[in-house]
Amino acid sequence: MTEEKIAGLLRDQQQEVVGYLYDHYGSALFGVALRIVRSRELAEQVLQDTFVKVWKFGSQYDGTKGKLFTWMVNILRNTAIDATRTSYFRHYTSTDDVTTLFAAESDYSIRPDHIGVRDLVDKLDEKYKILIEKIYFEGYTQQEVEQELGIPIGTVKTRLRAAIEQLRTAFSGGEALSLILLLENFLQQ
Amino acid sequence: MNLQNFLESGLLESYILGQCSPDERVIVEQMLADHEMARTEKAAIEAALEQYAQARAIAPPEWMRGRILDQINALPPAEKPTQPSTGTNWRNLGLLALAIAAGIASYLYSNANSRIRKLEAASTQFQQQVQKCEEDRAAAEQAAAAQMASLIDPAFRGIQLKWIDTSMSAPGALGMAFNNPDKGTTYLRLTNLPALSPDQDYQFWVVIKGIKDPQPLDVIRYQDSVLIKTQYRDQAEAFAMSIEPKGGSPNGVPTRVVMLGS
Repeated sequence: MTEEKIAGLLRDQQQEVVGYLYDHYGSALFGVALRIVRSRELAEQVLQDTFVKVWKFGSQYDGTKGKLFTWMVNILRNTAIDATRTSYFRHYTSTDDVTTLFAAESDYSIRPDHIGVRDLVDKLDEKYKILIEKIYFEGYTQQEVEQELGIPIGTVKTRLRAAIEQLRTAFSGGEALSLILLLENFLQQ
Repeated sequence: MNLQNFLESGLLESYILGQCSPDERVIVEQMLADHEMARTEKAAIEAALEQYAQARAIAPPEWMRGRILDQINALPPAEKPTQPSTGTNWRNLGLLALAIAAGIASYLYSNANSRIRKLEAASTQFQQQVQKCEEDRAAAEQAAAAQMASLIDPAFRGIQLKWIDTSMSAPGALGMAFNNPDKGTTYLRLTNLPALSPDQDYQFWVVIKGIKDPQPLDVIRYQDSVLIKTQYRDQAEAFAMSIEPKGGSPNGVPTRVVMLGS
């Protein structure tokens, strides 16, 4: 389904579009939510609230301004950051052990269409990876990154650009590498 | 700003991540409107970030899909942006003609309309508040269910705390500490504790094997019969509750122990 078609269905309040969005973006959004709130229970609540907002405000999505996923992930990030300010979060944040929190990630990563992409992600320069993780996945503002990592804001901006540049290069060559990794996996079995 | 400087500034990336100031947004949107290359670049960045998120995806629990669809199914239809309708133009024109003919009628009409708009806005606001309450309730229910699930664990040991301060009347006051050394968690549930003056707090303490003095745990915001997660300490032999000045014990020792259990 094209993004234009999805936008039309959201505007017309066709409920089947929610199932479609969930199937295509639910896991990616859940991954981001978990990394921000670091509690499975709360991440589940954040994901649920995000889909309700996507449904309610679907008519405001403007495909000419950006991709659907960008719009959804920004709603999710704001919802997750709001959730971290509640007492419910403060209560729950200490209950989940980080190793079990992301246990499902390794299961999911064996999806055939993602074989190799994780490896590419892991090969990013550490100084770039930490920026993407902090800003994209943990909901930090650039000012907060400046304070935490002690990098001037101008450098944060240019490094963020370099980080995404590296991601783009990685993904554009990813298809060939995925095949190689797939073959390697096959030969090792 | 020329295109090259703009692309190298990192502003576009900030814009996509929703982290631009209002002034920066104006610059970015102007550059996007003016330059095809800026638009292409933006699409490529968005695609890379989406792929990244897909690569780090984690599957939500299986029941989640049904719950979201049920919740959306139960919502009233979302408000759609108002579209100009040719069907009402004649009616509007008629009203306008009448209004011109009778100025007073026009005044009354617009006044009524403005009231209706205000009532509609209040109604929407009310609906949003109801929705928010509903969401808060669902979150609280989920929290309670998760706590119950964790307490079913057989490794939990329940320790009853009894009121011991005879100078203060506390009928039915009771505490239960649930301690789980396997998971390193402690929960506390308090019932019928006397209300304190605003400059006082309850504080929870633990007595650890081999250490004579009780060790301070959390200052408790007392809510009757609510499970509170507290700090965990290994080798707990007994628990106590004290009344302290606001904010907790000033010197690390309990001021007035009122409950005890081992």
